[in-house]
Amino acid sequence: MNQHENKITGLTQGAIRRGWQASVLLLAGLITTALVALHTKSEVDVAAKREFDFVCNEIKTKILDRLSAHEQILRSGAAFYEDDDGVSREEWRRFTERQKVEQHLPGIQGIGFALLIPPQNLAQHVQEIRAQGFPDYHVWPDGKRESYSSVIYLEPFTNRNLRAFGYDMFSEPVRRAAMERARDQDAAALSEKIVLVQETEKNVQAGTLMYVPVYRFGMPHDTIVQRRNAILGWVYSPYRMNDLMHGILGGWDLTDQKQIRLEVFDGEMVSADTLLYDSQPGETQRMGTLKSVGVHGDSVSGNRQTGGLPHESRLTSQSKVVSNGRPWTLRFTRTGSLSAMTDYGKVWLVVFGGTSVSLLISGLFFVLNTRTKALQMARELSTKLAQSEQSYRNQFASNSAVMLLVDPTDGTILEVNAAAVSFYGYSRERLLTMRISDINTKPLAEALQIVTSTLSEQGHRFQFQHRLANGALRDVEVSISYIQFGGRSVFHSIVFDVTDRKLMLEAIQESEIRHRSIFTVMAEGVVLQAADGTITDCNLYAEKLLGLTRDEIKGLTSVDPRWRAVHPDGSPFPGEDHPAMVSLRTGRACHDVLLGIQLPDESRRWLNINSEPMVRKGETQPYAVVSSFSDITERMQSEVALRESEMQFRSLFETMTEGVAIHELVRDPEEHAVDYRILDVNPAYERQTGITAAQAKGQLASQIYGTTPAPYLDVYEQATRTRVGCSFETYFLQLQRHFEISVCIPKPGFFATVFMDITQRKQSEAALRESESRLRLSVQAANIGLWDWDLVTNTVYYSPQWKSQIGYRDDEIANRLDEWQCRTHPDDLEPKLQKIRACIENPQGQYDIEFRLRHKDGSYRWINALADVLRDADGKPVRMLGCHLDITERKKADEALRQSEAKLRTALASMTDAVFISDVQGQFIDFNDAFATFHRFKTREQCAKRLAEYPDILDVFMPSGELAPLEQWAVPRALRGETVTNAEYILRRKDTNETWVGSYSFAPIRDKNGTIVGSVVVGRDITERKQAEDSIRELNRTLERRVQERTAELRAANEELESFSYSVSHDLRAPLRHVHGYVEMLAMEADGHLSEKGRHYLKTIAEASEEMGVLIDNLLAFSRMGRTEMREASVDLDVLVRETLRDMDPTTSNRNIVWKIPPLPAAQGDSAMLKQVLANLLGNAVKYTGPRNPAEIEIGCEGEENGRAIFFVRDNGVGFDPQYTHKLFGVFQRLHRADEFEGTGIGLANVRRIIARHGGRTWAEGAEGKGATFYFTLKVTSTLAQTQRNESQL
Amino acid sequence: MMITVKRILLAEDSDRDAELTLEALAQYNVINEIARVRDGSETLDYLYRRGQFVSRPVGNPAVVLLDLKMPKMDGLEVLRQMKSDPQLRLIPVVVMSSSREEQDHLMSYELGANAYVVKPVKFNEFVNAVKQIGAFWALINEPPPEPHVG
Repeated sequence: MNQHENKITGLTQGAIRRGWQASVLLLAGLITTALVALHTKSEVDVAAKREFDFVCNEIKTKILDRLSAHEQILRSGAAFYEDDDGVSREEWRRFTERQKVEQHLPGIQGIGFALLIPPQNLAQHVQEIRAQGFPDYHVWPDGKRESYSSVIYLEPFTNRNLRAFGYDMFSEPVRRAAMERARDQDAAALSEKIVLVQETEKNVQAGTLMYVPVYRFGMPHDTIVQRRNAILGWVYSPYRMNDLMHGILGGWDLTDQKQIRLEVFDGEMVSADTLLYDSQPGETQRMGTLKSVGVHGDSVSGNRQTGGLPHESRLTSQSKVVSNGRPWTLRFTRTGSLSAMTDYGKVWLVVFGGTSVSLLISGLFFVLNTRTKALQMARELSTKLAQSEQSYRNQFASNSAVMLLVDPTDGTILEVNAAAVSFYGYSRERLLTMRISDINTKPLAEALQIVTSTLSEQGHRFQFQHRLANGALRDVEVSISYIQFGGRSVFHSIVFDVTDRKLMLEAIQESEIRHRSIFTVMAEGVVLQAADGTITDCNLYAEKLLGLTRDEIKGLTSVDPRWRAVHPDGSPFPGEDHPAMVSLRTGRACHDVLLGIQLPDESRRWLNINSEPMVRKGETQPYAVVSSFSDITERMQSEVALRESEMQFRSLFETMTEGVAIHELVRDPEEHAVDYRILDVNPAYERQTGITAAQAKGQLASQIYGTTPAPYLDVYEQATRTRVGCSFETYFLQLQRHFEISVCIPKPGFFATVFMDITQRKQSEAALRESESRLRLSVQAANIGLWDWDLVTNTVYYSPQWKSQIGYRDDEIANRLDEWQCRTHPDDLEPKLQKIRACIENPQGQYDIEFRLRHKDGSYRWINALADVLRDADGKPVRMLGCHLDITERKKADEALRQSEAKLRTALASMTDAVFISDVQGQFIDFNDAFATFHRFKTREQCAKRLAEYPDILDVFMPSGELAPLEQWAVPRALRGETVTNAEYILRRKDTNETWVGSYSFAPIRDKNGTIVGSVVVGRDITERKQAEDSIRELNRTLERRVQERTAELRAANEELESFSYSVSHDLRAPLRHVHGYVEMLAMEADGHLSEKGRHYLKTIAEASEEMGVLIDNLLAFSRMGRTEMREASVDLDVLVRETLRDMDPTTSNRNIVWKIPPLPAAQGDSAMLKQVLANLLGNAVKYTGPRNPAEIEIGCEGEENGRAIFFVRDNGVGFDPQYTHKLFGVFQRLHRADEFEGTGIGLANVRRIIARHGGRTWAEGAEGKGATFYFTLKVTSTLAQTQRNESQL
Repeated sequence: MMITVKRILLAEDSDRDAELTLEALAQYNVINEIARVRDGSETLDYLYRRGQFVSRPVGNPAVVLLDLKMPKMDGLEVLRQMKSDPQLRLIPVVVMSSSREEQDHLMSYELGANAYVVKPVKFNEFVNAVKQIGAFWALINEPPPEPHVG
């Protein structure tokens, strides 16, 4: 522009010289032109900016839309995975294939699933995946981590994607951050910039991943904690950014004529590190010189970057988009040439035209003044003008926008540019011959009228349709303004092809209409609900299904009670759980929810409901929800019916006792049946064959049964071919069983076999045959007599056994009826005949009687006869067949049993003890008369027969006086298994308060298995005994007191006695001593004066006093013996005997005594006392054998009495008169005069006393002059044998 | 031969026994000084030189022949008091009794009697017994040293 202005300035200087007026005119014109040009340019710039912004916005929207579309796919993947709670690899593959993402959303690398694996499950997981056919599978990278994830599915499972198999994305922080964000927010999450593991060395692109969480089916995930618990894995897609963006931009970025450069940065930092995508990677950018001016929010803002830029018209725009929680910064830079993008042609037209006019005016003015100069100038001017025009033409021609110049009067096309030529497909020359109506579909006049009537100075846009050279019609938007061309005002048209846009709009409108019509007519109810659940719209079908009109439905909510919604199981379906309400609450879709509603006509309708929340971009809460539902009432009903029918057949299949197998015939290429495959078998098959369903299913019969060809292949082949079932019996060798097999043909090529194991039947048939012959034998062996009476001919047959039962040979009894009649016991004959008659007359009658038949030996045998009447077709009796069993022994046994029972009963009846027997229910089966007495019933009949009645009759107490609960009573205790004797209870009649004491013995009755079937209880009234016992106890108590009293008395007496003895010993001895002393002294004093007689007197006095002294001493010793305490020990009698003999030496030394002293056993006793015994007895023996020469004295031990050994001392002395034997052991009793044998009569008394104190007995045998034997008994501590043995060991 | 005779104290209530005893001792020619007391309290009076014995010559007897059964205070009581008095407890005491009762026998020794003799009924045996006692205790046995008096 400066250039032109300079030229104009040059002209103006020349003009001033020729005339200032022309200059002024020119100047004014130029200024005007400049002003208009500037205005025009600014308008054009604004338009360009608007255009730029429009494109940027378009791209941004496309990116957001596409990412949103990807998110939807992943969400559907997650739902797919979640609903089924795990899917197989094959299901996943089919799912991803169905998405057809490569067609709809090019640029996606794949759709995968990453499973979260707890560390403890890792090994098992690897095993499982390897088992699926991936022996090399492992989770990588290796190493110990707190948790693992693994890409287990990634479809398409080819090429680059194979690299990701098993990759633990959770191990990588960037991916993990996005995975955790997705998990915690239950939302799709984009990762930061990464390099995919799928990348090879070549063509490495920036990448990103999008994750959608999958939670375990049925687990709540409303809170973060719940989500972390429920997380199962992630559905995800990896993106290679370049591929993704190419897909989004649809190749826009690849065209040569791209005029806008798009750079996508991860996050809000604009830097090479965060660069995800660059549409023109070749162009070095002003990276770093540009400050990121990311604008928050979702809007795009354009920023004109002018600071420091030489190219003031360069446009950049930066905007932030937030998709799936990840901000991306988009930077757009306009890079194409100005003219290519901006419609500066208009400016140039203004400048050019304005300048021309100014120049013309000033030139005219100038010409009027200076013609020559004017001519020259005109020439110059035309040259300049030509130059300017050329310049404009160049601009016009090279503009990429389609431009036309059209004559407004007749529509002639005046000029076109190259873009127009290329657009319309006509050559420029051809176009220049055409009128606008040749390309515009509107008639010329109308087209021109439209334009001219509305066109103002500012220009206007019009919508037309242009026809191209190839006949195609394009919708165009034509921007038309006037320009001066060739001195005329012509239409300057810039043509924009808007066909695509229009098509798109139309498509949208059409789709809208279509959708509306689908919505209206679809055979599925659809209901729209606002965020608060209010129904805002519904379609026709919804009206029909809900039984309400649209107006009635509108305004209702899902929670409206009128629906009376129920679950399929009949439980109420709260409105809050309606899928629409759930979707509104959770923002998630709900699928296939079954719900029954009550229609206004009270019928029940079943609906299958799907709901989809409608969420505005960038919002999380749905603003509405759309629910569709279909009537599945019939389906429900038929499903139920089908299920039932299926269940019936299945259960029949499962439970039938016949084995069933379903097969498919296998044919070779020539269509010959070569084998058959087992498809299904039932449990009976498993039982009968021993082959499990798992083993059999899918297997060839030849393999399973191990035969070639497969068993009965020909039969099955024929049946299958003819489609005629058959059945046959066979012995199946492989299983060694007999089978009856039925074949049926459910459909061509298949057959089912129903087979029954008839092995048992076969065996029993054989067994039956065997048993028949056996029976024959056993009838003989069991001595069963048979008879056969032909009622028609009245003849009878008796078998040989029949006759031998009663002692006859076969030929001894004729086959005549009277043979049994005459032998029947007279008492039994009439009943028997009656029975026979009844049996013949009554078809239901049974003949089973017992009677006596006379034996050959005259005795009667008891016979049990059984018989059956055979009848002809009319029911007329024709024959009577019977058998005789000799039951005499049984009868005897029965009789014995009955007698024994009678005895027992008599015994029971006569018992004074109550005896009662109960069953397990406490019912008294039997009890005796004493039972009634015992329980204070007047008669046996009054007795209550059930234990349960007794708590109302009796109170029962434990001996302690506590009330005994029923379960502590005898019967319940016995029924619990206790066996007890003499348990005491106190009973009291409730009615009379009579109280008695019972002693119970009881025990359970058990059957042969040990099960308790009853109890037997014996009760005895021990009231009197108890009373007697009480009085004895009382007596015992008083007895003790009396014993104590008596003992005290005795003790007192004893003490008196002692004191007496003391006195005797002291006081009696003193006078004796004095007598003796003074006699002695008198004798000494008067020795010479006394006569012989006097001396004799003195001597007698002295002797008498001496005797009295001995007497007193002995008496005291005897008394002391009774009082001395015994010190018991084992006493060696041999030693005692030796000591005693030694002590007696003085009296025996001058005697001729023959001693017989054998070894004696040791005795239990007081050594000193026993020595006293020996001393007394041996002393006596020595004394009373005094007259014998030699004297014989024997000591011995022989026999025993009351556990004591009998000792004796025998002598051949003077003996004694046996009639005084009883006096021998008395105190002071003597059988000899003192002048014969001296003694005090104390010795034997002492012996008896000592032996008595040892618990033994003393006695004596003897006769006068024939010696004497004294016996005593003592406990011995060792037998003589032992003593001897001990001695021999010494 | 002249035997140094020590004093013997005879505690005996029975005049007959006393006479017989003295007779026995006399037969043995024990030329001695025999003091006789008739009951327990007299015995103690003698030993403590009090009452009627206030003026008796100083010195403990060589032996006390003590009868158990005495009026007022019996022999066992005398014995108990003697043996509990340091002045008297060393004096040998021979208990002479008609009793063979164990309780007397045992009790006497428990109270510290030096000998226990049952008086024999036969006179010659009695004489022998007394003679031997007298000879032993009065002649052979060396009495304990006389405690200083004053």
